[in-house]
Amino acid sequence: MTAPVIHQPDAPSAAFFAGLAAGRIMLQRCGGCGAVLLGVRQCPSCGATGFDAVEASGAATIVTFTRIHIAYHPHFRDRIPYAAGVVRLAEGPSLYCRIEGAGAPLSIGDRGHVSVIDLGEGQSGLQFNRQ
Amino acid sequence: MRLDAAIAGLGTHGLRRDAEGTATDHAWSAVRAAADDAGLALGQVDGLIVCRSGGATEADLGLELQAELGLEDLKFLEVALCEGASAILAIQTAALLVTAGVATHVACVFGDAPMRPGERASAAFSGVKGPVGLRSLRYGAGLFGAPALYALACRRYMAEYGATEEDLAAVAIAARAWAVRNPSAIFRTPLDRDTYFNARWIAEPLRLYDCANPVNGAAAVIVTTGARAADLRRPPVPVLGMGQAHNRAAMKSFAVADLLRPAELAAARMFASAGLTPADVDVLQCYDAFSFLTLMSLEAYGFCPPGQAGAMVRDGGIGPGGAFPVNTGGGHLSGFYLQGMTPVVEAVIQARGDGGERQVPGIRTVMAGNNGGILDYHATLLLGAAGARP
Repeated sequence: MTAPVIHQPDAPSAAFFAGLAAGRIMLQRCGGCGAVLLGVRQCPSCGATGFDAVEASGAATIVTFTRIHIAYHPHFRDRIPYAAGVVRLAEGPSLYCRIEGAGAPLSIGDRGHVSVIDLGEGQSGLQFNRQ
Repeated sequence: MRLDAAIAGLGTHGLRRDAEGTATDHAWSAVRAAADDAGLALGQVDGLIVCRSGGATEADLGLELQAELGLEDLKFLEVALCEGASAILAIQTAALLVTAGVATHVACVFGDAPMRPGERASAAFSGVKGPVGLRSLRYGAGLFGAPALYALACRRYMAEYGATEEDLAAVAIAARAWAVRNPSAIFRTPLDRDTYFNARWIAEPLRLYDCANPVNGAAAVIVTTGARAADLRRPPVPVLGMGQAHNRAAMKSFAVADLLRPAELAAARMFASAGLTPADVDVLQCYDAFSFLTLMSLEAYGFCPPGQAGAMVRDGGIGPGGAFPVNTGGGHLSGFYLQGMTPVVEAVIQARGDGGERQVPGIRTVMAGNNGGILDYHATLLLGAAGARP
């Protein structure tokens, strides 16, 4: 399976991608104010630059979604049309995800669970399964 | 310091749906055409600002354009990169340069050649762009290209503000009605409601006619002072006001208030700089790479209250003969997709009264808007009628 992307972690995402490779969704907890964040270099609330890693529960809700009808990459050739979008984790941060709705129409605000999926070539991605 | 700038020349080249020409080929021709339109010898251009699309590289179009044009001594040279907002960003910089006397005749050009031999149009702009950091999660999710991410914004906008599929259709149909009257437009076959709704999905809720098509081509303008422009070949189109706003909250929250904020702020700053209000604008040329962006622009710029754009666009309200003409050349959707330059080209044509069959009579002001990234970067420009004193 050809991976659709070879992720290149940067400083604010290094812990996240290390976690993803181990099947976990790791977030940043601000050392200054305790806010739970993701992909930031400084805390937007207090400005602190030190973070601890904290694992997400996976519980999430749909912020927005689409259904894609063109395969822009070979990885998706046999998958179109497929749903994808943005989900908000219970802890706060939002993520781009594939979305599985088990047949019924999707809506903004639908609840579900995010899991780590294999994209091939050693890469991992995220999939939201609607409850 | 009072702004003293006018657009004195306009040139386009290409605007083709085939794979003809490189971005530099088209940009070279467009700058020469703009200088000629202004009545300037190319050597009189003493400032050059080059813009290219996000997927293009310095090798496609960049600083080397100076040498290609044979411009031996420039007082200002820059590659301006702000995604879809680059063109107006460049014109704003040029306006400041001529006002300050740094340069006298500044050429601003955007060139692009996303159509490549043997590739479908959907392959343009849809590759992986710098898969660094968290943003690269979009590709694993299958969110390639602009339509996917704009579809996410459109879904939120429709859900929160009550816009309907009929509103999107009305925008696409109005753009096509203008394009029918524009010989430079790419798509000139009239579009009806059934054709719109029977077309295939691209990324729901966006159908085929909700999305712009890539073209190869370029557009350029010459910016100079009002006094200098008055001595040139064409009546000067005065720059009355301008604004920018850049705000990255949109992609974090997808709340419509955040999606609209850069456009709102850029318009408010433009109106403040001109001492005018939305009620003073006669024609709008907005960034309509996707149909719903016209709805969002009408609301964010202050032409109607939030959530009320549907009422403006239904029943031909923004089309030919409508109460408020928008994207009178067909916009990106049906005219041609040269990113930030598309609204600028049509704004200058209308301000000059050169619109032929699509000319809006009695224009005093035209607004142009540019949107870059996914509603991240915004730039606006207010132009006066050609020859009018600012």
